[in-house]
Amino acid sequence: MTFRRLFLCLLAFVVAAAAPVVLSAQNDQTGVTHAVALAVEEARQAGVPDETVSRLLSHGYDNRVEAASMANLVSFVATVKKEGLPLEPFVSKIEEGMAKRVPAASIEQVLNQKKQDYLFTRSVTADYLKKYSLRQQVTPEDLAGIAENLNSGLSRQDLVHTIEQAPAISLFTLKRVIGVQASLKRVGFDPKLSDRIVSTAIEHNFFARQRRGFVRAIVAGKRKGVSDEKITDAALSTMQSGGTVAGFCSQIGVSSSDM
Amino acid sequence: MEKKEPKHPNRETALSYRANAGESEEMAEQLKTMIREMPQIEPPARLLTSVMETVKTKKRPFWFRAYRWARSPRTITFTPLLPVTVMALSAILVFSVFFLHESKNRNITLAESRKSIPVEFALDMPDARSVYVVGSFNHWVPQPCLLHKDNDSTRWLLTLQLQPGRYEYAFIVDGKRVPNPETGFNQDDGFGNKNSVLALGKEDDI
Repeated sequence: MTFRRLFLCLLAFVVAAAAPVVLSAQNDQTGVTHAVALAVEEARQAGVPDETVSRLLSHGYDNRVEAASMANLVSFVATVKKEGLPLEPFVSKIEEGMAKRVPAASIEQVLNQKKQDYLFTRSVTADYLKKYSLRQQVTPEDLAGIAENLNSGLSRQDLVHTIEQAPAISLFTLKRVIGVQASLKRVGFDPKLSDRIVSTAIEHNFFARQRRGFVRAIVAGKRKGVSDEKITDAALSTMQSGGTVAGFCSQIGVSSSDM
Repeated sequence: MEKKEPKHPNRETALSYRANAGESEEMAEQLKTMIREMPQIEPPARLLTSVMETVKTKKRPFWFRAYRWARSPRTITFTPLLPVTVMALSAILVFSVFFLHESKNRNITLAESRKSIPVEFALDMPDARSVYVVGSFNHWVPQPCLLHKDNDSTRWLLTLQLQPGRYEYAFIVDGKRVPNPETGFNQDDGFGNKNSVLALGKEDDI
């Protein structure tokens, strides 16, 4: 066998060996692209707006997210929609993850946790409404407003505790109560004192009247070194006397610039 | 038809002198004398007016004159340097206006609405070279939310018009993401970092 024949045989062998690998890669690529198309179709059928899907795909492209991961994320959004949960917090978390170059698997993990938090919140809120026979709809804003506290200081046990302690109040006030509890816990406020503040506020309908700046004032006071006891005393006296947030601020020595 | 020449004694005298070429100097002197001796006749008082009335044309309306001016061909002469200079100056003007507009534009509307609330983002970071703000309000994309700092200030500032709602955000200082150090409302982002939290409207208490 001449050298030329030997070389041609070797070349044929290499081509024959490489062909299945190349074809397989092409099939994989086609399969992945097909998976994205299927996920997009699934999202559309679930009722996810086209604009949201386009936004996600565009973000994924800009941040070089792999097609297979993109398909999973779009499919997740479709699942969220099917569950009747608000889309925006999930879409925003995906965008945030992609912008921060977080691996898609980690994004999915965070999304799963978030979804569980939302389902849990919806369940306990529904139980609360049922308990007091309140005919209120849990709007996506209410659900997001309560559930997001689970990601910012409040545990599920805290949430259940606060909701169980709450009397029959509007969802707006309940959301505010939970938000105040979460904010106070985040800054390390004494839990017993924060319970007293919240229960007194509910009793005197303080959160319905005083909407702005109350928690900010507490945080500013704590930053300035005012003790939890002094803040609590000032808060309770303000609520019991029907005072204002401005009056509360002056009692604990906090100015608007501190807030 | 016989043409009668008007009788003019001085003219007849002058013509008779033409016959004698040798006496030209004398003739010139006589002519001068004749001119000097001519009577001084004042023009009639209305001569100028009547002449001007004859010459004067009716004034056309402005649009007609403008149209006629625009229609009439012109000859323009220029050196090649002229259009180049004009183009260069125009480019400088356009870029200057654009740059000044960009540098002074500290108020960005991300969502056009009557309910939009102006929110000023501020960061005291005098040594930073660039500061952006990213968050759920701009889909975590830095552009166009670049903060600006005056030369005599240490604070980076940007005002955004935002819809009521709850937002998470962070600053990007020289390419590094940091939560707002001037607020007590930061939370885990789930990815191992911290985000700052901003609530506007009904939920405006954090």
